[in-house]
Amino acid sequence: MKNTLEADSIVFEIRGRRILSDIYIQLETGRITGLLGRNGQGKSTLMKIIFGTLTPMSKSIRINGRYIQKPYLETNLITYLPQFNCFPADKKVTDLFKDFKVDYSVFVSRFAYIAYNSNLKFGQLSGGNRRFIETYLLLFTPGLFTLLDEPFSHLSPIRVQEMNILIREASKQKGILISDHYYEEILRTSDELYVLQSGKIKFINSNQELATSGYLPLSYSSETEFKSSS
Amino acid sequence: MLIFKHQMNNYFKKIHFIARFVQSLCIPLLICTFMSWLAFRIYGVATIPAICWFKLISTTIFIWYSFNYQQQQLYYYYNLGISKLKLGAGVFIIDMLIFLPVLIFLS
Repeated sequence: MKNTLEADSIVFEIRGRRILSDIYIQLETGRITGLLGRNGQGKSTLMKIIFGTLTPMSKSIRINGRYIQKPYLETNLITYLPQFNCFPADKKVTDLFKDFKVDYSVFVSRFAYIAYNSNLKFGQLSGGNRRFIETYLLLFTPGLFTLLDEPFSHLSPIRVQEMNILIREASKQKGILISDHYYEEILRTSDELYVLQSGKIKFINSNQELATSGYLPLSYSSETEFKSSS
Repeated sequence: MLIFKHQMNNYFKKIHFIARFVQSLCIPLLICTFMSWLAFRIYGVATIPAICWFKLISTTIFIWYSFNYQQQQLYYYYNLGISKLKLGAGVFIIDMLIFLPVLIFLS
């Protein structure tokens, strides 16, 4: 069964400046939705509003048509990876896996070079490894939707590739909204793509549209061709 | 029965996470409790209203500080389904559960 999350009529202002204006976006389990936009266009703000930790002037978040005030308070519904590391540094990595009900042994069997010591504390890991573990846990913890804000930052190219595979795997069970300035990766991973521009959201069908939307320079030619699958 | 057991399990897990948040504030909270107890021992019953106000205000300040200067870590708790309100209330309740017996029994 497909589950849908609809974020509708989102309006958000800061000190009289309108950041988001009448936004509508739909996520669906089994699909990856990319969200691009220049700096300061409100990508993170939109994610926080969908997650439920930021209250806008107006919003309607519906899961399978049912209105939900604060999605993050619902059990096994939604997770959100913010731009920064957010897990406590003094916690053992194994405890974090228990907290999020994710099998540590599966992780170790695939990424032994990251979690080589089960007594390792989260704060003892490098920035990239911390980012990798946070994203892994939020992707594979039980739930229907995951919002990823810059999951590729601090990751080396090989890790970015591994992360892309993990996101694809997780998307079989979940609906994923992903935003990052490594836009080539977003184009490669996403099934559908939106661009935020001047407070409005625009559905993107091709690279050409991405350039005309003002996100990419018009002269820029991307190696990755995006074709919307919807 | 199984649903009830599952709900209870979830409930206890949330208490466990809230207790962990309290743990991050336990040193300043315990210092304030100790100072309150010391004031009570030295100056007697007359200081009770002042001690209670001191404890109330100091705990509020620590919670406010934690919410504003450790904002990043709050997302860990949000992802576990715990709101700011529950975290703040948790700190208050656990702090008072330590403060009141200390004041009553040790004095």
